Amino acid sequence: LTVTNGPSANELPVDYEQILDVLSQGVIVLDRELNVLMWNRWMEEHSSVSRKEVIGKKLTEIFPELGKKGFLWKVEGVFKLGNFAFFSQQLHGHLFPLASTRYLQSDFEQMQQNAVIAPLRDRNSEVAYVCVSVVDCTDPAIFHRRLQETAQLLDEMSRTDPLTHLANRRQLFQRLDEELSRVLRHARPLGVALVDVDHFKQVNDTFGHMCGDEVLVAIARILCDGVRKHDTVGRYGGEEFCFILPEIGKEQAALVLDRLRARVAATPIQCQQGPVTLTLSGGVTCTTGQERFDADALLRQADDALNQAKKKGRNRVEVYAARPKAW
Amino acid sequence: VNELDETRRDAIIELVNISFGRAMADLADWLRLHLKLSVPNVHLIENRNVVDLLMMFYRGHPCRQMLQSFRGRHFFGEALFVVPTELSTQLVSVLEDNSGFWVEMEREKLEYEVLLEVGNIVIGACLGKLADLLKVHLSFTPPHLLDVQTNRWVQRAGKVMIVDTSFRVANQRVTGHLFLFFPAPCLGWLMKAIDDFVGPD
Repeated sequence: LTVTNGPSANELPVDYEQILDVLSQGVIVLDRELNVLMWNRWMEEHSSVSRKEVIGKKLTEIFPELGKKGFLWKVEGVFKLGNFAFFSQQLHGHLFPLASTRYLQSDFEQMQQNAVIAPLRDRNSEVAYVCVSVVDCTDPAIFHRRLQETAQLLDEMSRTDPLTHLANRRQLFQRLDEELSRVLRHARPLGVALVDVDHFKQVNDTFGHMCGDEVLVAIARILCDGVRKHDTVGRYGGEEFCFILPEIGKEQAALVLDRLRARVAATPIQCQQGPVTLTLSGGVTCTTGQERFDADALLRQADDALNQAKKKGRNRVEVYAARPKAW
Repeated sequence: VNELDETRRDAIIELVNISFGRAMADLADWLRLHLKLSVPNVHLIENRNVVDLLMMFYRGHPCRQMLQSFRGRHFFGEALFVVPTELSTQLVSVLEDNSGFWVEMEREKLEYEVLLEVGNIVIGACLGKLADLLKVHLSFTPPHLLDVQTNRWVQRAGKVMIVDTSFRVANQRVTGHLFLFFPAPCLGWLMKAIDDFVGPD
């Protein structure tokens, strides 16, 4: 193995091999045919393949899975262009199937690795060999995973109502804005509805807030189970829920709401103090994109219709109109 | 001393044109990827204005970006490779069909892998040739994906020189960009190297 641009081994009081053996990273040198010329101690220790077993053999015969990782293609590129090639842990996880040395944190069975393939030039400055260096980055990978999990949790918390696990107001407004811009683009209908649990204050006053919470959770589940996957149900306020119903107009939205109203009215909710049966009042509106509505205007219309439902005796659904009509 | 007058600007453009032109020949040979480069633009701006400048290029176009640092003794900085998302998707088939590239990986990751790979090769080739002309040795950090919009990038005071070269892949309409950033501590050496390249006349 002859490489240029460095002092000869004689100029150092120690062997290069000894230096490579004390590095805490893997170092491999390959020729054009991918025969292994150098295999440092770190590689021996982590792969359980000894230097004796590997020197002079094709690396891909010992680790055939390298073929699936584009290793041969990258090595060929380094020989042709003389550039550095990289394997990123974020995309590949690992290059060599080496067991993780972390026994207490068992996130990864395989050691996570970043790897670099670097050109080595002969006396004529031609790329004659490549050096593959492998770094254990399991710890940063574990840290990154924890960070992602925490970010995901925070994101979920920022969008979800902690009691009912439905969308919170922030998420509702965001979804409503998204749907409204879709309505404007494609001129498709969008139904929006508000429902209120009738006489909910009496539940709290009679059975206590714990029971009130149980009732809200149970109603939230009925509402959530009764809509399509792409609909959004959220907790709008204390005992008020909001529905965003893409692709349906007033009449269909009113049908959906009335079905849910009937289901809640027919379902006694089991609380610690015994079964509680409640009813809902609902207000429905819709836009087809022909008029420019913002989220607030639509919600105001749904709220007007909801107030009409309450005025007309509750346990009913009203559709918004300039002069609201009973549905 | 570090002012960017017309002579220096022209010299930088010439240097970049020569080196990138040579790099394109290598790329076409290895990746079978024919990139058409524009004449570069050179900007010397305040660090804090970098993100605004980049956003002007991206506005309305979803892009994928990769960043890689390069380091020589006096010549160093960062390279940003920006590819419109639709082109980034097409690059996978260009590489698979033309150069025998194949990695067993889920599709989304594969697109990022190809972006990192092509970006690394383009940056390595272009800057390698530029380093040859300037007679310096360069090493590169591993490339990584970046989101300029959310990245808290250049906060410190001072100026940065940006060389912006746009490129198109043959038969494609969309345009990508290669930005080279030379931070203030590198500019003194770079301007001198450019003056030497131009010569006393």
